[in-house]
Amino acid sequence: MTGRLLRLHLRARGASAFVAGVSVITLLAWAGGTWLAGRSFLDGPAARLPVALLAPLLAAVLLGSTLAGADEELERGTPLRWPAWRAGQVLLAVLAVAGALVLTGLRVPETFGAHALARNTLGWIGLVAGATALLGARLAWLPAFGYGCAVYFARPRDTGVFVALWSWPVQPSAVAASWWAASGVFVLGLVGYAYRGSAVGRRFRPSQSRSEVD
Amino acid sequence: MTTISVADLRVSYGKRVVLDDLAIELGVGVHGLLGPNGAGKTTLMRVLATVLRPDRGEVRLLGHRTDDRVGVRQARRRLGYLPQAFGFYPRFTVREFVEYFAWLREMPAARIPLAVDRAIERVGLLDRADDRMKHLSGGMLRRAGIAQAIVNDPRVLLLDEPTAGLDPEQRVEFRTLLRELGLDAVVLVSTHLVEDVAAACARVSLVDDGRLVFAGRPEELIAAGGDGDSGDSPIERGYTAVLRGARQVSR
Amino acid sequence: MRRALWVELRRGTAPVAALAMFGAGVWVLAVHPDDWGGRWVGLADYLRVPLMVLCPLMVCAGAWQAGRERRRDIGELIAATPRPGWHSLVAAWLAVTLAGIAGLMVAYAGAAVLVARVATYDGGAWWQRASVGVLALAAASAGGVLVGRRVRLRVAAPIAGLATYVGLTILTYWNAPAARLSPADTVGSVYSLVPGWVTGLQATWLVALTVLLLAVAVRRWRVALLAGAVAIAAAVPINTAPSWYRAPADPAAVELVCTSSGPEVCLTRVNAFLLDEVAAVAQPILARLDGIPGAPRRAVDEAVRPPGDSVPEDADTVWLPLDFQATAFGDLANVDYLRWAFGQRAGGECAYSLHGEEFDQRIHQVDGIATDWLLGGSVLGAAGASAGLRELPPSAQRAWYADYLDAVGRCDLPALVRLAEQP
Repeated sequence: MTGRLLRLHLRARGASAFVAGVSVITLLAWAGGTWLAGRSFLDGPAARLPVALLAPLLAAVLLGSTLAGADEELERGTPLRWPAWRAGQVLLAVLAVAGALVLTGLRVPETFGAHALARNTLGWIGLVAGATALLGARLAWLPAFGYGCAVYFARPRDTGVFVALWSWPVQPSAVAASWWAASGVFVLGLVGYAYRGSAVGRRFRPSQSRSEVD
Repeated sequence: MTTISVADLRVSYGKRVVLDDLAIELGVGVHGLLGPNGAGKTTLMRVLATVLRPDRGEVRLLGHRTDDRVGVRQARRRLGYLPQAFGFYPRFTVREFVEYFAWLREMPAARIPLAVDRAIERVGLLDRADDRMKHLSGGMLRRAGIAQAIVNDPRVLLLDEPTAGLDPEQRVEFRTLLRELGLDAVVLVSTHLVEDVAAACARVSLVDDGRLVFAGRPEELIAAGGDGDSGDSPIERGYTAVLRGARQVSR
Repeated sequence: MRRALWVELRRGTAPVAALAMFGAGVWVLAVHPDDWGGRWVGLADYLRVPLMVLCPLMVCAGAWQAGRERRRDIGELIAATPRPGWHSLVAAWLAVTLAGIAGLMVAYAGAAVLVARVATYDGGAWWQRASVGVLALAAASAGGVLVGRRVRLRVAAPIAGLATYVGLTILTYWNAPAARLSPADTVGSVYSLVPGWVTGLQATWLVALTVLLLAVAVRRWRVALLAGAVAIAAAVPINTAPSWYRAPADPAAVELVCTSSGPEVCLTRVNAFLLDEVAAVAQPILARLDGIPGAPRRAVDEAVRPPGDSVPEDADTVWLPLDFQATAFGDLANVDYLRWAFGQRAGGECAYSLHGEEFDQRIHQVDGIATDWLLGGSVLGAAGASAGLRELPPSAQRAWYADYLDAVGRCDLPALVRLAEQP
């Protein structure tokens, strides 16, 4: 029975579209990384940067739309242990995305940024999960998207713990502070989402309120 | 005078035929459209609203054929439509929402402000006119929807379950508004609430399984019912009797 | 149209777009003020470089606005209205575009006030260069509108934004003529004059692209065909023209402005706002060299340095690198970097050219002594190297420096080694 419930739940959350999307992203990341690494004017760390930043971000954006069902309040009215289900979904997604993306970079981890891909998966998914708890699944992509654009454009040249903390997505994977920042974001996002779920806006729909009369 | 005329109408979704060989003529006045769930009421409304193109048949609104591009645009200028489930922009105020639809209905710009105020007043929302749509209750939203449908003084007004979500007092007021609108326009109201029809409609049509099974005055529908038919009011008994009769014939 | 536009400006995505673009504008201006400080052309070009970030934002805003009808399930209501579909779409696009551009312009107006306070050159067709950037933003939001109207995906807006980002990044990295179609591709430098036809073609290309995208969004195929033809007609010459990266220098921009008293320090008109501060750094150093045979007599903006000219061949002049030397307020950003232009590396370069990596390290030492003596002892890596030299009487110090310049000029390595040990 649990197996069937799981299948239904995955279907309700659009899991198949997510898996298809992540597969496409993985292929693009592999192709993009190879292409960039072959450019004569780029060396290893500079080549991996766009892929290491954008591929996990895209995957996290896709995950965002699976973090809420068609009617959040309807789901909350059920006795299921939602924190565990929500946390499980996020953890599974991290494993799947990080696994797929790291595989594309493991050929030469330094050139393709395999470890940075894993770290950024952690960070971006954490940010999207946290944003889901605060803004709702519909707008969950917004903070990650804005932050990704800003950090990528700034690409700070100076090093230092503080800089590494706020610019974790563009740091080399050897910088420990970037891992701390990404993990911190992930834990906060995971806990926030697991306990609060997707934020529900106050929204009346005539088609919903009609059911009171019919 | 006939303002809506439909002949030989057929609509299907894929293999499922929803309306078949339907013909209907409607003149000025309030018309009730009754029928069980899935009978094709909403589909008929959508065809008349020029939103759905029929597979076959001729639809004329105010003399314009709806399969003709110029004609349909002419007809839409004098058309008001409130779908069963309608969307809205939550950040708009009621006034902006109605104003926006006045613009979409190509009203002359100079007439819009007055027409918007009048429409909002007629549905009794004037005190909430500058509230955002997202702050309205279900009944108020429904009334805002009616306001956008009547803003252009339509000659053809199509209301799909307009009384859903209205409280009894509002429904009484709404029936008065309907009778007022029916003085110089053809108003077609689809509903499940047969008492609304008895109270506000001059004529009533009953659709079942994609076919028109009854067209006449409410009194004729009441007369069709007998003591043996199920229902709590005379018109409900008439309604079940006509439906039962239609289903026996089709078998 | 005005009524619908006004409602969209207040209630649509427009206010959010304005705010986002303002924030993005402040951010991009704040992270690299050295790119634009004090220079009108620099500020105009700096409207182009961040398009890599700003265009995705506009795509996102456009897609979000155009996807609203579907999100809010209002298509049924709108389908029954007579107004042609492109009216409301154009109103929505216009609202997002105007608001986004206005938000960005507020941020840039702040920067413009800072530039106007100090700028010494206002030519260089800077506003033409800037307007191409603005047109690119309009094209980006049109692209977003197309995606929002046509793609049913819930996350269409962010994905379209990121895809734009990726696309522009690829164009930037891609060393092909097609890269020039990217609006983020800047043309020339602050010292060059971009030919009018280049700006004209880019503007035509972007306007045609905007019309094409909007026309496809509302399925006006004839308009789309026409706009597509114009876009191709503009894109072909952009792609096939000879590279304009070496655009001709702007003679008025590189005209030299020199100090009127003391040792001569000359900057181009573009950088002349830095003249006082640069002179304050350079003149004491030049004064110290005054009268030493073979020593440089003047310091000049590197922008006018003839290509291929190296220091030993023109010992008379020190070239000052000033490209990233202005702060947002038009002050000198990095004094040490400027002083380093006077640093002496000639001995090492000379030895390297004769022996490769394998040469007497005392030659580096003698370069360090010379640099430290000249700059007064505060140069990274060589600080204090000239302590011994400074104990000599002033005339002997100057004689040592003259010998150093002489030895470097002749590339006399043994003499340089002797000089390293002498003081």
